[in-house]
Amino acid sequence: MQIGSCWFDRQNKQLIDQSKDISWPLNDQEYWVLEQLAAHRGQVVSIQQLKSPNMHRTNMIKIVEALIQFLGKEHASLLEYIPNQGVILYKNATSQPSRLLVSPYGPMSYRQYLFVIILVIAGCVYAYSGLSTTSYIKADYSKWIMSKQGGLTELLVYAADDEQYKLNEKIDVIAKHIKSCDAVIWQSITLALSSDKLSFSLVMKRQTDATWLYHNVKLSRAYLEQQWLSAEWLKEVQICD
Amino acid sequence: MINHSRFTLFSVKGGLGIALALFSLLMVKLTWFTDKAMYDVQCQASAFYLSKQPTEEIQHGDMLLHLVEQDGRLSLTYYSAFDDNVREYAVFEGELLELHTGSITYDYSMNMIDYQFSEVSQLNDYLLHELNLPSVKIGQSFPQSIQVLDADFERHFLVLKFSPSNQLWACNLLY
Repeated sequence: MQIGSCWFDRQNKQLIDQSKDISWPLNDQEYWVLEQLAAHRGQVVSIQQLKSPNMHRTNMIKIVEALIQFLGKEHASLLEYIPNQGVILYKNATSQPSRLLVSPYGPMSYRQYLFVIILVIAGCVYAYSGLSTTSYIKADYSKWIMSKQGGLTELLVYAADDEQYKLNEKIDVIAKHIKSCDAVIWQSITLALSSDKLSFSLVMKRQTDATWLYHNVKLSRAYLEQQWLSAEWLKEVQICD
Repeated sequence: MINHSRFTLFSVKGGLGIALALFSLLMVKLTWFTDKAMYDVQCQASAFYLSKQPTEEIQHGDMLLHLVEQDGRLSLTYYSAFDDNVREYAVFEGELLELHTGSITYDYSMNMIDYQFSEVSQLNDYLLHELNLPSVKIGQSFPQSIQVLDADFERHFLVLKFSPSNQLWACNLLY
């Protein structure tokens, strides 16, 4: 009997792969399984029926697995194990378009392959269009400050330029002043400096169960040397409680 | 054991399916956030101004920003009150040029359409900084980017950063 590219030689109890010119001499159990399948070709043969009297179920499944492997990739679909039902030896190799998601090793049609490729390209184009000019929202500077009463507040700074080394010094002075507060009620204080350093904005915020408590402060000065930072001012703008 | 009929979570295609689903969810979430049809935002600030006169004390006032964005059109209305009797305002409108989904930054082309400044105007000075302008004139077109730094829609809260001026506003989301 011809099964794909193999010839089932009942007389000599062997399976011959004619395309590769190799043969598989079948032992009694292997012959029994294949004989049952060949006898009921096109029908599902139950597991009970496939097991010879002394054969364990695991052995039977291993034999089916070996048979599928021997048939080769091209004809593997001729033999199918249906869990909890049995095994079927098809008369002809069937093409199964729905197998894309059925088996991790299942074949993929050109149409499905094209669909996946188009989907991936469309996803990449969409992501690139939105992400190409991203800049991280991460602050340029962040520091945890502990007030005299022990409360922790995060100081975040957004600088307008890349002069980080100059900025650090200034921020340390601000952090030192905030540290001297008796209490700070805010979870975070965010500071953004303008590029001309003449103005800045402060956002203080604290989350409660129902809402965010917050306070905006804007400061503008006419020239750089003007001093504004003092303990009184920190109290006035509610940084210090 | 042979198992050809199950779509398992740990198979290659199972992983692919899960990755695709997660990617789609992320994109839907981002698209929903950035495609929100309308934002109506109100922000209030304490403003301090150090004038050129060294002897003068720090001037203290209140500022209010009302921002409405609908279908790519942005309206910014600034109000300020420094002295008891002086009320100033300025109104700007703009159109969305580009949206950077990754950084949630909206690029607009803005125009001033109306204003009322006092003779010595703190609001005018403030706007020069905030909108990065050499002078404030009606009809003057200028670029402005607004980035969402923080958003909590449940608690109606937003933090915005104006660029290139690098100014922050924490705001109450009205709608």
